[in-house]
Amino acid sequence: MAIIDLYVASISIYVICITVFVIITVIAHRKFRDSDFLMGIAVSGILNLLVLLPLITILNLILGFVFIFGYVVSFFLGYVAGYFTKFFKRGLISGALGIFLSWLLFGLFSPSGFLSFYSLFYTFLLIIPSTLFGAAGGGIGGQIRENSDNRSNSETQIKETN
Amino acid sequence: MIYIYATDDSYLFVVPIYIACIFLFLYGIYRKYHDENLILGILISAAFYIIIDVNLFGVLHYLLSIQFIGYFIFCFICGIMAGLINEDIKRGALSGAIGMIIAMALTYPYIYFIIFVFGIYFPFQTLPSILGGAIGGALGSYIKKSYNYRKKTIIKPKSNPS
Repeated sequence: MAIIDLYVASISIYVICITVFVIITVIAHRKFRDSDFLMGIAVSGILNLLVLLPLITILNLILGFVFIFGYVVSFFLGYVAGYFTKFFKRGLISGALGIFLSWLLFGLFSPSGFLSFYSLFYTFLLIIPSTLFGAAGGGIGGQIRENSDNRSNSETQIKETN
Repeated sequence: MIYIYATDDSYLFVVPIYIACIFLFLYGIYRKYHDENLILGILISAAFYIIIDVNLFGVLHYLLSIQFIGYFIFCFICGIMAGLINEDIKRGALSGAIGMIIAMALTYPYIYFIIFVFGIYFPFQTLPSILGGAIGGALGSYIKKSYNYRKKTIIKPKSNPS
């Protein structure tokens, strides 16, 4: 395959990914009508991008297992996104979309970063697992926040009745 | 940052166990304190440490002469982030310090955690990081507490005209 074919294929997959991301975000926003949901996506996406940009280079990936580091940070930032959204399902979607957004931005800002969407190595070793870790973190964060909100609501109700 | 090189196959067993230990540690903290703000503070301070460390790694390690002060200052900032989430001063300090330890466990993984973090680098990097995180966390939670106290005293409930 010529270089130009590789670039065309990568860009087309990248554009498809962006379209899918925008469609899912718009549908989720119309359903939830929640600004915290979008806030969670933006915060986790931008913070994860700050980790990805200096860290993920092909040399680092080949020489060292930096992806493990990426998974754990994705989980942490997914948790933050889930905590913002306050509900389990929203947290799950928000965490996954936030981490996926960071990969889309990585494709935009990193030199020829969009090629990562075409490479199976990147896709199966980095993009999909870190998105899943982000979703797991978001789900746990949302669930914990939901539980604590329910607990504090029930406590205030008990106080009011007393 | 320390990288584990691909020449060693034992990473297949070591890496999941190491990650599981980190998550178990976090789960243990959650089970003990049942405080979602503490966990959020830990994760946010750890994520900020990683972001700053990844982006300013070269600068921090180049300035060896001011490494103690440099690490103290940037962990102090991360600790303030953690403390602003917790209103209790002890919890703020705890979340800042634990966040720094987890971040260092990620940047120096596996056996390097013992060799470097609690060995060679202890006086130059670990001690100022934990101290900075704890003091920053305490200060952040003190700021939040005093701000909330002021808000409560300024906003008085309106008297009922009837």
